[in-house]
Amino acid sequence: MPGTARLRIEEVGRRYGDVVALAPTSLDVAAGEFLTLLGPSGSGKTTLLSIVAGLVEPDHGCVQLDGRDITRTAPHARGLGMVFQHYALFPHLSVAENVAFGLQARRLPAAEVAQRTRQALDMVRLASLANRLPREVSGGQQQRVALARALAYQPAVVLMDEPLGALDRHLREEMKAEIARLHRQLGVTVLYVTHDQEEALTLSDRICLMREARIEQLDTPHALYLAPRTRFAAEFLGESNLLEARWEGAALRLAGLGTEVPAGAIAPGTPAFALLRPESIELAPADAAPAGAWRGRVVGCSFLGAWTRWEVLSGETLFAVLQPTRASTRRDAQPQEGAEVALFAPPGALHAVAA
Amino acid sequence: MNAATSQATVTRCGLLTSSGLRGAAPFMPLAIFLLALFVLPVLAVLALAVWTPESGWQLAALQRLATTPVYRAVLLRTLHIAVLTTLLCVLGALPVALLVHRLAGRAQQWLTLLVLLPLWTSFLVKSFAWMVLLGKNGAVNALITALTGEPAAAPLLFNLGAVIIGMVHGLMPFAVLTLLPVLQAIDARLVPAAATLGARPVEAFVRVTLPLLAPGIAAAALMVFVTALGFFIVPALLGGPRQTMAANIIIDLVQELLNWPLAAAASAAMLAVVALLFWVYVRAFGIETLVGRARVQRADAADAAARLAGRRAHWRRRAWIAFDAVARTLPARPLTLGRDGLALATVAFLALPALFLVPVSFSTSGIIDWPPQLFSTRWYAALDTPAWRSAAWRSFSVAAVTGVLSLALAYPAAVWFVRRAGRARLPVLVFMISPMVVPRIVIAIGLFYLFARIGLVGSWLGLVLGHVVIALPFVVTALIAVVQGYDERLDQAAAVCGAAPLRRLVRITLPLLAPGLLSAFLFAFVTSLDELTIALFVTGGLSATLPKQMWDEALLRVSPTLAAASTVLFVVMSAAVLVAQALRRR
Repeated sequence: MPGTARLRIEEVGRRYGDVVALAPTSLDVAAGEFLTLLGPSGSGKTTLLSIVAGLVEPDHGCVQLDGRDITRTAPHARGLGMVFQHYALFPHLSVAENVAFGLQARRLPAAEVAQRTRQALDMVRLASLANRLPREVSGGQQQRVALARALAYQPAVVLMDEPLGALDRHLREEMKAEIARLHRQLGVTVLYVTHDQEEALTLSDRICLMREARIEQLDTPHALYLAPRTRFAAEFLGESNLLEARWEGAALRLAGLGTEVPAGAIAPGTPAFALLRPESIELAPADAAPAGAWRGRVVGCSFLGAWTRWEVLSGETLFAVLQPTRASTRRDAQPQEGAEVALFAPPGALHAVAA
Repeated sequence: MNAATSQATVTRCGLLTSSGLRGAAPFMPLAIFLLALFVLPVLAVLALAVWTPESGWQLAALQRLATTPVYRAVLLRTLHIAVLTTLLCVLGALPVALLVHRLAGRAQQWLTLLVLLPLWTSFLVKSFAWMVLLGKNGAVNALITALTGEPAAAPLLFNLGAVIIGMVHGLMPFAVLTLLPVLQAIDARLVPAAATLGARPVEAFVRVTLPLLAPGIAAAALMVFVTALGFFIVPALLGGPRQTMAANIIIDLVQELLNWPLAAAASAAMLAVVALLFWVYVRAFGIETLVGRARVQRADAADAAARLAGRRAHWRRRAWIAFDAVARTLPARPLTLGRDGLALATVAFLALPALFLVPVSFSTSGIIDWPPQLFSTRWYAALDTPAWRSAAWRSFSVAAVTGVLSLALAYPAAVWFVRRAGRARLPVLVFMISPMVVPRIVIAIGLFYLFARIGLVGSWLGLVLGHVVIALPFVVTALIAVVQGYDERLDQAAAVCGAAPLRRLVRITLPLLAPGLLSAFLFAFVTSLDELTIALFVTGGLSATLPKQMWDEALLRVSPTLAAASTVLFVVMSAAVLVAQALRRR
């Protein structure tokens, strides 16, 4: 039955000579979950995906699919689906033949192969291009062929390795929606690799942030963005103001500004920073400063469309501030470069992260 | 749990697993083959120059080679002819390669074909063609008679000029084909970029294209020189006694005089020159350009070219200023026309001569003259003898088995080389292509020496083994390109889709590699079909191959039978080349 699989990765690690490609890592993916491995290149995410696919054998640890140990199972016997980076479509087979390939490998009767191939092509809206060769269709269409090929035989788990990496921005948005739709519709379990934070935030149920061959933080997109545990996690996702913080007894306070930062899970005495997301900051005219606000001077201002971004220098600290653009806002009513302003972090906007 | 460690196997569904010495297993058959049938026999025969079982260590052979006027003259003449041939080949090949490169689409394909056909036309066939053209009653004399009204006095054959023409004609296609990949590797935007900086076409060519092409030119020169050094067909058929070259002497020494030490000494002298040039080349350009993979080392090569040209940049600058002053006086348009005209004339020089054999093969008279009296098929009928038929059968069967065996040895080695060779790449590549840079005559007497000891002289198997040695460098080079062009992830994708190894091989790997494999097979097939040097030594009196049969016949008497045999061979080889090309383009 599709969609009920559960992938369990236990203490899986891999080195190449002296290079650790993946430190021993454990990870559970729930049935129907969309889990993204996010991280910069070389963080071990593709190695982990390749180990699950069976393309790379781990030095130790085990991979379980529905409680069945598949660590030593050959790739073709694992029953997974995979969308490769740059797709790896078979160049000598037509679009339909590419999609039918996995069905034929399962020795299904010809009629069923034909029917399910058609279904898969309809699902990605490519029925009209069935007889073209991969090189005769566009990049976005190739991407959809790769999706249809991986989904046609209804694998319980689908692996996707940077599937949108080769597309331009516009197509990427479109395909992101397509992948989200297919995931919802089929209820399939997805393990997804990307270095693009927007993709990860939009698509995932949970994000596994990776850094230097190990897991940095595993959390929902929401928690990862708002409550990153480390400076790396804070900086990797979104824009961040990282303010120096000092321990004064059991209280963590912003250096120079004195504002107290809720320490959360951070043990007193360990080096920490305070994260303040640019869009959490409120900006007010200098003469209307609320209590506890800092004073600063606007040193840069850029209009980004939906947002306007200010750079405000307060003492030694340069703050990035983002405010939504509203039709009612008049341009000349906003602070201009050189203006004195007040900055204000509403309660809960400050979040401590480990250095 | 389950922390059991596994051995370091890398890509499970890749074409190979594991690493280290055990991982080099796919390379071993080829390595052992070349060690036993190339390195060992060549070293054994070279050793005879200084050591023989009968008289132990001695330097008499080397001394005799250095002091006997006849031998010294032959060695010097060989160098002289080889240098002259190399210069003319490179100078002629350059405009042709540039023209082929500049053209696009159909025109380019046709021109490439016109260069490829003479490349794969047998040296024997090409030499016979020049006998038809330059003979006393040949086409050139006929033309002179027609123009001047005076009957031709003498053949234009049997002199240095004829030898040089024959050798340049035979070897120039190699130069063109060595230049082309290097030319293609040069970024096409560089010349326009130079133009935007104000360089005129001549300036862009001399200052941008030419320096980047330098490794290709050097590679072409090296390949032509090495082959020219060991040539014996052209001097024997088109030259006189005063054009005897080293290889002819070596053949005589081994076959007639049985003077192995002296033959070995002459081979060693030849090999020393080759080794020196090869060493200089590899030092300067790296080995990759030699096998048509300039892309990898393009920047290094340009660097090396600059080094070779000397670090004194201002001398180059001065030379350029002087050249520029002359170039500026030349009108641009006639220059372009002259360049293309020269290139086309050269292509005609390469492609046309073999065609003169076709009408001669249908001649009614028994002597070769021009224009031939038509029309008779008696010379084709004359081929229908047991000797010719057995030679044809032997040639084709040897060629087919050579192709299969070469592929079987080279394919695993090429896969290993591309995916797993690691740090061993450079020495391994030098080793695999080394039969290409050792003059064939040296390999041939080495094999003769070895086969005589193990009873393979005159055998079908001996021929196959010898031909595989000759064909391997070409097949390996071609297969390396094929394997590099294959995306291993396609195999992985098929595996994840649920396809077991056999299904992956049949549905994905083989269909994608087939054109490349077949093309490499045809390469080996045609090389074997054309091979005379090994056949000269390894075949006995009754076990000739087609080229050997033609050679024996030609030494006896040049008759239209040879033209008929040449025409048959020409048609077969052309068909093979056309098929190989068509497959490559797909």
